[in-house]
Amino acid sequence: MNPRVLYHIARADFLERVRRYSFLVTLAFTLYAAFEANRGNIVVNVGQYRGIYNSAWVGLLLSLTATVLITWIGFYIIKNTVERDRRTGVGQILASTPVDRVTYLAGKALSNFAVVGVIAAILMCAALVMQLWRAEAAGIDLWQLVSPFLFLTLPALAFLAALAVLFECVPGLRGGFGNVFYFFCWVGLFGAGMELHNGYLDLVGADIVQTSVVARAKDLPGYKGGFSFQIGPHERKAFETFVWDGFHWTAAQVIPRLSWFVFALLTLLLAAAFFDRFDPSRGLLHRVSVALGLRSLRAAPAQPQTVEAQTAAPDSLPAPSSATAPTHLTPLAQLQSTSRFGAVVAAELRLMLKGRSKWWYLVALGLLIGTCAVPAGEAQGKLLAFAWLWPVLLWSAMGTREAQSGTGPLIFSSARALGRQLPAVWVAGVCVALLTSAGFGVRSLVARDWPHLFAWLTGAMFIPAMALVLGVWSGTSKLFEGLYTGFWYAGPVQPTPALDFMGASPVASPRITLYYFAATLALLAAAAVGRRRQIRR
Amino acid sequence: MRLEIQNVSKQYDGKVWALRDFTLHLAPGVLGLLGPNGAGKSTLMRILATISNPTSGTILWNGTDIAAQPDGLRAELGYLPQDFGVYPNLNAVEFLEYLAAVKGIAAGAARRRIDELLALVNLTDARKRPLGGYSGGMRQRVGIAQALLNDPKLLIVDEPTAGLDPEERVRFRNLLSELSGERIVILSTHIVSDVEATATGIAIVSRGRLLAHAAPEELLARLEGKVWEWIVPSADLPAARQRFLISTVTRRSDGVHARVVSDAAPGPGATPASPTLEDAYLHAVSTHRAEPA
Repeated sequence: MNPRVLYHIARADFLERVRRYSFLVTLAFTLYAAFEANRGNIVVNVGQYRGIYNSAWVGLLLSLTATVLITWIGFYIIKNTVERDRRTGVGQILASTPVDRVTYLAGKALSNFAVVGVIAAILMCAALVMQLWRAEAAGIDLWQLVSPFLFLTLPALAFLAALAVLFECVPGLRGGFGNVFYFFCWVGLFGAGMELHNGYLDLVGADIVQTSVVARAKDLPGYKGGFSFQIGPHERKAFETFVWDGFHWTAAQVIPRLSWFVFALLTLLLAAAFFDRFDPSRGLLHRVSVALGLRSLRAAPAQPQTVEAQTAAPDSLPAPSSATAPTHLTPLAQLQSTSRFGAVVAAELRLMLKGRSKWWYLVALGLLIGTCAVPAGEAQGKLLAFAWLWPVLLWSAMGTREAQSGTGPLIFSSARALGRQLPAVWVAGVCVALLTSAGFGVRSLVARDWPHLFAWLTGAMFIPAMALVLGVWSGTSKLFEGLYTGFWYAGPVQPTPALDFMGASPVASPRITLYYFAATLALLAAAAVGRRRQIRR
Repeated sequence: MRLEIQNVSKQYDGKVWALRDFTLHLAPGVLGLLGPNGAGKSTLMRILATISNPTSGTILWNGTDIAAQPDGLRAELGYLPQDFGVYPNLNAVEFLEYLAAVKGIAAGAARRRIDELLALVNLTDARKRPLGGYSGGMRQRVGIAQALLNDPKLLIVDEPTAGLDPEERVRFRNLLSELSGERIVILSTHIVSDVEATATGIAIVSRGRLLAHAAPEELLARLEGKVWEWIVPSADLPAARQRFLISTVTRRSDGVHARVVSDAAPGPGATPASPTLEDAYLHAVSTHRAEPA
């Protein structure tokens, strides 16, 4: 591996990313997260206690924030580096150079690491500012402030950087399925670390944090156990405070953390094995399937002709080809200019559903029947939640299809692109939502369960609106796939009533439903603004 | 320096044959690769550029199989794909520095080479502007520059003049001619005049097969006495198109001047004309189309 080649691959990729407008947006969100931590909306607490905001505690709080948020959302931000080369065609040029797979992918992983590293570095600086701002502890202990970032955040980010590359190299994980699948991997790794108390499975390092903080808190008066890390609005409590003097890093803590760098390296090597070097027929899965006889690879039938024979002039000249024959078009009798909104909705629906396998339809049908058959209650709510996870890849294409397939200039130059096509996309998304969970609606209607019926209808409108606005503004399906899956998990699945946008909870709150209805209207307005911007540009 | 393409075939998804039993031996010079859309030109170029492997057959670069040992060729290869992108937020120098590193060119040499190439493709003034703000023609020139970064012994250019203005096109043609003495240049294009101006050899491809490989003069000689200029009334033109292979049509004050490729004079008043490469190309492709698939 040539270090100079590695450096240039990483550098070019890094510069290309950080000069994008979207990176500025990412940095703004990073600063917002730091602001929320300072406001007390991101907290680590042990029972009724929290640490005073000394260097150790703010370092812990913001490194944990960085690790959790970046390993979740950061994945969707960085999982596009190989894809960019594939899409732009730069990959074709790279594939014709001597650069080897491992060097190329290592450069890309390094760039991934640098991008998420910048985000983490900003949060580390924010930790320092936060300590000064809160002024609960005077002295600044740089080691205690920085070391959680070094041992908790960086190893996780290194693994994330390599994992994102792996997902881009494995055909099945490259697209939307991979984005949804990653969320469940993330939840699994997050939970495994906490539950199994095994540092080699604890990507985020939450168990180290918990063990270390609880060890100090157990001697505090009135402490009855408990440890939590909360992001987002929560019930504000007046925590009692205690002084936590930070981590006393031991080999037993550090070695498992550093092992994530090794895991990252192994992941990278695995990615290199799958990487097709921009030619699908070179991919590992393709080669294996050919070897197993699942794909035909017949040799071309032998051609006895030699080039000389082929180039010999024919004895007589041929009849002219159809290419030179005159062509005629049937003139249109009249230009149809009537507004056919239903036809556009049908066309958009067809676009959404086109190309799905019969298995997709079978599962969707099963979920539909399930929502009909299962009686009202928690089980039906769970089934509704799953029925509305299944079409996530249909919804995630909303608003992005024009950018992804390059049809934007065609669509945006057509009549009433904003007034007709955009609403049609949304209505098609609503139709998918209603169709895949119709049983829930029918049962609620029959039972005159109006709160659940209203919540279901609102959910059916809210999800496509969310998909549309995220798709139009980001131009990529990943944002919706990542955020929606997280929202879906935290809200309807847990269930958290305030985040239950579909009425999956046994008790549906009309007040919350009303909030989501209002949010739907706001999202649609934002989507329209975004689309207008696209059209004008 | 020798490139030997031996019985190469490429099949996609076990169904479509993009290339069939393709054999071609090349020595230094410019090979113009001509063929209609979907003929297999880009597939051949991707295989020669080591991006794709053939389904069967071998390609030898100076006696080495490029499928087994691609790096030998890659170090000496310049490739300009038909559709390629750039990193829009990098400037031309940064983008070329990146590709120079990837191609294994030492930093100092790369810097000098990039300066020279940017001057060659007339982009010195725009060198620090983000590539996202370049016109299509300017991007194409960046593509040409990157293909020449490593002073390639094999230069493969796929539709290189697409998007270039006439002045730049002439400039590029001259550049190709100058380069050809010491390397193999493969130029794929639909623009016959580009080939006419630069190629020392021409290969005509259709439906994945090599129809002809010869020097331009040889191809023209084969059509000697078979090209006619014929003045036909406008009303008779559709019927003439049905009967004959007409390569060009020009409307003048005395009627429609049709250029016809035919063994015998297409009608009274037809006068023999000097064949052009366009006539030769259309003739070869039409002959092949007329044969059963």
